Amino acid sequence: MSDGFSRVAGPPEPRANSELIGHDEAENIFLDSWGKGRLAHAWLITGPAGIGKATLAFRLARRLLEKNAPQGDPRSVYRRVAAGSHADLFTLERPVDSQTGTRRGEITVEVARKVAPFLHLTPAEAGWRVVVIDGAEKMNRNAANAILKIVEEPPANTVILMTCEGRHKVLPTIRSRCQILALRPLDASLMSSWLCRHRPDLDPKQAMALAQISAGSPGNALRLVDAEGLGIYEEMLSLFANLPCLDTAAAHEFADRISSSRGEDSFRMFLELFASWLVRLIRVIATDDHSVTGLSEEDVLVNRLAARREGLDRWLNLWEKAVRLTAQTESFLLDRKQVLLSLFDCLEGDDPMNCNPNRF
Amino acid sequence: MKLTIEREVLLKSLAHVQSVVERRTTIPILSNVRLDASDGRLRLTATDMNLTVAESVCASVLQAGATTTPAHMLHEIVRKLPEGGEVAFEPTEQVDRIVLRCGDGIFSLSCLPVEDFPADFNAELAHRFTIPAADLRRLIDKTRFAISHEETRYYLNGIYLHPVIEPKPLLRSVATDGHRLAQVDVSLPNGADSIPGVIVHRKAVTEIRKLIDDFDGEIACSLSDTMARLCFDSVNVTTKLIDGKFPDYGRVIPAANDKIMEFDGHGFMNVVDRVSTLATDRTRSVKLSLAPGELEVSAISPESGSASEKLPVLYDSDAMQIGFNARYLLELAGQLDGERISLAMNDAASPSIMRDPDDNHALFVLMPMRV
Repeated sequence: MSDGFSRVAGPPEPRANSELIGHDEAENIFLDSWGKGRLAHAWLITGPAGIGKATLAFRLARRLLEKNAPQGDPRSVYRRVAAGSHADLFTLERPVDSQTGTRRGEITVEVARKVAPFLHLTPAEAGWRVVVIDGAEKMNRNAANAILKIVEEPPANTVILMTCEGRHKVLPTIRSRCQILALRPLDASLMSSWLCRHRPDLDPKQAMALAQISAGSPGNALRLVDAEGLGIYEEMLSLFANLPCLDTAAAHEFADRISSSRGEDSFRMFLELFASWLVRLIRVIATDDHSVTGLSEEDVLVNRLAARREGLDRWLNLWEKAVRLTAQTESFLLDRKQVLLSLFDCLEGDDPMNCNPNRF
Repeated sequence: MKLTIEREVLLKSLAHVQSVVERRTTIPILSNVRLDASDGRLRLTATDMNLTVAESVCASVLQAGATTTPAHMLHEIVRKLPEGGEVAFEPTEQVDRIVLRCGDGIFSLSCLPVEDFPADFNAELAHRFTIPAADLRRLIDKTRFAISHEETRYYLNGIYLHPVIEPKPLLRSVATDGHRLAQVDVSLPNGADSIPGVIVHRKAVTEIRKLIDDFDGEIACSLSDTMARLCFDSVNVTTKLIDGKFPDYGRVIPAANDKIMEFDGHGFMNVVDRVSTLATDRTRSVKLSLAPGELEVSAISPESGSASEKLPVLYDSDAMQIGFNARYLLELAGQLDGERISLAMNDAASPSIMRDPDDNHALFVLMPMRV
């Protein structure tokens, strides 16, 4: 469960979500190896936030546990997995702070140490025991080492399903003992139809645009809808329309609005959208593939910037700066407006032909 | 669900089931007790997903149904209701509420759907036998103190229950933490000769012991490799087992301890208790110095001083000295029912055996300490 996604209205929590889209291939890899009797004891499901890692993990857990169910009643397994009351399933996730009521930033060793006693008892339904570790990268060092002991020597009939936003974010000693299931970004058309189903108020064009700018992650797309990310994205494109020239007044006005004290979500959203736009631009420049997003305005802009044949390193440096500033703004409480203006400044670059006399 | 039930009946069974419910759980449904009303009975079920306790009691059921409601809260409410009252449960228009009435008191309690409640562990278990409650109490009482708390050797975190056929058919419970070991036998119940050896975890041991405390009949047990179930007096306890192999404990029970000392248990415990007051270090070690006919118990603490006391014993072997943890000595001696205790030793570094000379069916092994 990643930051912010639990608040997204729409599909239920992963443990209660019976709908999984676009990850049939990953699911089949798991089911095939189970069918062949060669099921790995630990799986690391990787992919960007909101793509459906936890949904897949709980879905696979249900498949295993349904096999146990004495009455063979999948509905009963589904209800108990959703309620967290299946005696053969243990979910390890960031604990809720009893004082603030919010999830803590990391999975602590105290909660990680509860996995071993669960596995030291016999299964309740004489079959599989499943441990889901949601957000394995959130385990602190001690918690990860506690889990490593289990992954090193798992008891019989045990499957550990970990989700993680990047395979390199978990200890190499854990990673090397897991079979990795990398979830791919969802196909844009699949996602836009899914979005239209969950957000009937979206028109198909908007849904398609969201599908494309959300990097193939349904959770991310829903978050964009809820935080009015599409509007911010469109404003960003119109502000950048004349790059490398930037309208200073418009840029100040935009930065004021996005960085206002009430607009914390907008600010974060903008930085994410900006970074993901840069990624797409870099990809076009690097691959010389001009069939970009299908969003006409972005296509025009990206193609025009790509045609300038500037060095790739300039854009890569800018992307790095954007990512770094995103992290630093929160940790060092940087002035948000200055962060934005500094990024816009870099965007204009050192072009002598720059048409703007009033640099930031 | 609509029913009425006597307050005392409800309170007694709630007291039975609610102690299983963990007070600090992050899963809401696990704080709840399940109530099923049908055919003139109310069945209460509580679980922590490792151990399930269910009890069925008489009630006048006006409308069958089932729900779940917070266990500790319900127990507290019923405990505070006036004695001799009738408690009525009634449904409300809201599905997530149930009303409890007693006299003029009305309590509206939150409910969660029964479908979310953990499944009953109701699978058929292969082995069945009945055992007198007194025997089961003996198997638990004399061994539970030795259950290990060390989680790395999790297979020692419970009581190992298994049948022994030779030389004589017995049902045996064993617990050890590596420092001491307790082994207790009762006669083997019919049908228990082929049961698998099972390790019952500590919480199950504690809860089962509480439940059978005032019961004096036969307890129906059923067992499999993964589950154990006890049924008695309308109570049904089902528990997961420890998934591990209990070590071959027979190897640590010495067979050739020939230095045997016999003494009065009560007097010995008093002496050890007094002398160990001086043993203030973490290990609380006391030294037993044996000479024919006499035992001297002593303790030395570099900071506090020293203590020693003698007591007469029956002992006719060579003089020797051996050290023990005073707490362990007292705990072990406390398990013996008879007046006399026998302690069989070999040397100062080998395990000793403590037992009641008149009871061949309980024996305790204690590792000595260097003093």
